[in-house]
Amino acid sequence: MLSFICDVNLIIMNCLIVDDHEIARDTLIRLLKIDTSLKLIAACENAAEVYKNLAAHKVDLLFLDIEMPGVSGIELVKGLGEKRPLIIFVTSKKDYALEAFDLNVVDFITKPITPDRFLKAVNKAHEVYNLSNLFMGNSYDEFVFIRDAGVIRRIKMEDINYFEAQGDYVKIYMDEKLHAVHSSLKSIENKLPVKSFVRVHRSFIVNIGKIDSVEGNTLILHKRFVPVSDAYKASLNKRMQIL
Amino acid sequence: MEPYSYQTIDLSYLKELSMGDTGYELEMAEKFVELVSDEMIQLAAYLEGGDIEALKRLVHKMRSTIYLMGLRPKLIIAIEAIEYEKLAAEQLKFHVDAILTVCRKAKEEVLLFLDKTR
Repeated sequence: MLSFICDVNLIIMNCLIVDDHEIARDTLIRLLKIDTSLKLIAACENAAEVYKNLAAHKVDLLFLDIEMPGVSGIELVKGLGEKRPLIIFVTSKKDYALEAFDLNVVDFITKPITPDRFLKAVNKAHEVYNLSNLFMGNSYDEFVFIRDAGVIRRIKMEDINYFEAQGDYVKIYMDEKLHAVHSSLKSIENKLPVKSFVRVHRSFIVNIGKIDSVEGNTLILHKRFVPVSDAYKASLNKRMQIL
Repeated sequence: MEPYSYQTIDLSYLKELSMGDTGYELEMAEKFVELVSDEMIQLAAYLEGGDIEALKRLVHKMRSTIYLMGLRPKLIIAIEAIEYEKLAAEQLKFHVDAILTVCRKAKEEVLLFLDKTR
């Protein structure tokens, strides 16, 4: 019997504030105090301080200015790689919005930041964070919990056809439904029951029991095509027990 | 007693952040006076020295100072002209002067606010 207790409001997120202006940092420090689920690790002035804090602490969320001397906020995010914290961009200009959202950040807020707008961004961060933790925290063979439009849903492992990595998210394909979780494919792979799931490509993990057919380097699962890369072909063939 | 009415600064944003915490208002007002004084000196120096790129970066950075005291409506045209437009020397000076004038008045009023609140 599975049991799961989740009070999303009690999950504490460790935060870094990054801005080269003292008043901007102080404003964010003030706003952080509104939400008791946010714990300030440090307020950084530049990228070097960010790297130092990321190396020393577990950081879940960055409030990051974009225009800073030296390394910009966007360059900083690009350099952090897959295991980066969640990002909320905080900037004075809207010019960077498109580029910022391409980096799969949680939100993009413009100064001056009102408490309402700040809380809205933080709630979004909580949703993404909880969703990611929910998935990561349950290495059950039968079920996984995900957050879907504000509701925590249990989905059966056997209903999952395959996973596809897209940026900072992993899409979960089922027969009629599609979900997305903020995570890396590698992290999800580590939590999946090995008897049912196999990596077939850098960006895909499939449920072996859901493979309808194999045509060359392509799998067909519920009328969808999934590529198989040469690097994973041998291990897939081994797992498929072809007669 | 009616709250004092200022001509240049608008304290609504600071009040929204402080949520009634006068200590915070004083702390940020003091910080504003300190930072805006330095930034005005730098701004004038960059204009004088013709260092346009540094001037643009500073104007961008000053947004946080300016927004704190509700000066955005008074200065957004000057800020955006400096940041986005290719201005002739005279136009640039015009916009920098506008920023300096508003900031100077704002500083005086914030000092008055500090005086009345302490």
